[in-house]
Amino acid sequence: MTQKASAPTDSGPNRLFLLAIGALVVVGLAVVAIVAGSRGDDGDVAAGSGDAGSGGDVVLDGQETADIAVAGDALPPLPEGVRIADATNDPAYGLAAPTLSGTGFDGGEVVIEDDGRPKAIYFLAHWCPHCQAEVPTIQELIDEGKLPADLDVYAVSTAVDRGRGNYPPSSWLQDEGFTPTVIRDDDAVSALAAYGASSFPFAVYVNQDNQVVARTAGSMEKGQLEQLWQATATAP
Amino acid sequence: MDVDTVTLFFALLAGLAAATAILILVSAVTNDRFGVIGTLRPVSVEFAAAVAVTATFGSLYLSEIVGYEPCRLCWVQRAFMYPAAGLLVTALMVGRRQGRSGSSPARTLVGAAGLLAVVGLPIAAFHRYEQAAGGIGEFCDQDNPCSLRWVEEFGVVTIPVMAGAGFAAIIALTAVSLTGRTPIDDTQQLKPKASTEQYS
Repeated sequence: MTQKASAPTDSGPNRLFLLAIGALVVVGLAVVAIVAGSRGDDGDVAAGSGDAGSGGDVVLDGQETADIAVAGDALPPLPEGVRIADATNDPAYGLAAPTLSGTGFDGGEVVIEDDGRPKAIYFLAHWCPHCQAEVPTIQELIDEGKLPADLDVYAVSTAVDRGRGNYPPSSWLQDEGFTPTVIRDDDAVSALAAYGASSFPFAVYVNQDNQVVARTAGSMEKGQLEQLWQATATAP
Repeated sequence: MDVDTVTLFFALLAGLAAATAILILVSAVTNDRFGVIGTLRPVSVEFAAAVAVTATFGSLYLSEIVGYEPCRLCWVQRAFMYPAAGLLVTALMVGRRQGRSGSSPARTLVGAAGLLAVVGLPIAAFHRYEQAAGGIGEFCDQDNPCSLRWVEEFGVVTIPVMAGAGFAAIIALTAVSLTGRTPIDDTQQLKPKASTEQYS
């Protein structure tokens, strides 16, 4: 063993040859990644054109935050440590949800108001890992047809921070193929504060009379989301 | 080059690192029947340093350029990978200055890097377990859970898998380097023997 080990010593040519082989292998892997990556891009483009048929790509106006008007009394904050708040433990239960008037990422007007329809409103921060995990779950439920016909789903893009990960939120939500209507919060997170958010993702469920029936903090399992949607759609 | 291409490249490198570690392990078990260990030994420190430096800059790329926020377990793994990179590069420089990569100070540095990797590997394995188990886990906060898979290539290669493959390769390559005898070691061992004979 020792003899075999000492045979190929630090001799220059042998060493350089081995280093060159190593470098070649790494370069080969880089080429494989680039080729495979470019093929993946083609696939994404195809998927994107498929999406375009079912709704079209949103033309973004380049702004990640925008002015938003909040009308009505702000909801009290969700008690600390509470993940799912309802009639039993939410001081906001039965209170009127504030009206939000602003714009989406395409610059189009978005209003979340008392329109006689139950709603699920999700406050999402682009940098929050749980939000990143929950967005596809919400979309999955929608794609599977689990969204009750009587329920509208909205999202509020909030707490935007250029210095944090997964920026910008407009690209993130577009890449996820997120179909619910999105409204931009302002730099002062006025909408977030008005709904008494405690952590991300934060969700507020509102009945047909615009009263808060539940609020949740943190990500929910798919089954929990479905239950909340069903309960909100049929809430008195 | 987009992020997907870079992460795919990292995953392929991780596969290469894991394959190297397995090849060395199998060779060690079979008493190096095919001469793999003997062939790799002259460049083992260089390869180990390349693995550690690539892992270091790869993790910095993912966090500082792409924006994937490192979780607590990621930081613990960094605490073992980054110094290992520094030690191995220093070992190469020390070895070169002294004319041979197998000099005693260089071997100490290589050994220290190997020990860091020995600690880092089970942490990476635990992180992968946390990812598989899901949930927030006891080690991480709710806003930045260890269970989140920022990268997932081939359905299994996540960031801790890449780190684990890197640690495994560093362990194997430093072991290959340390188990070998270099000309300078032979010379150093001969000297005291000669002087003992002189005094006897």
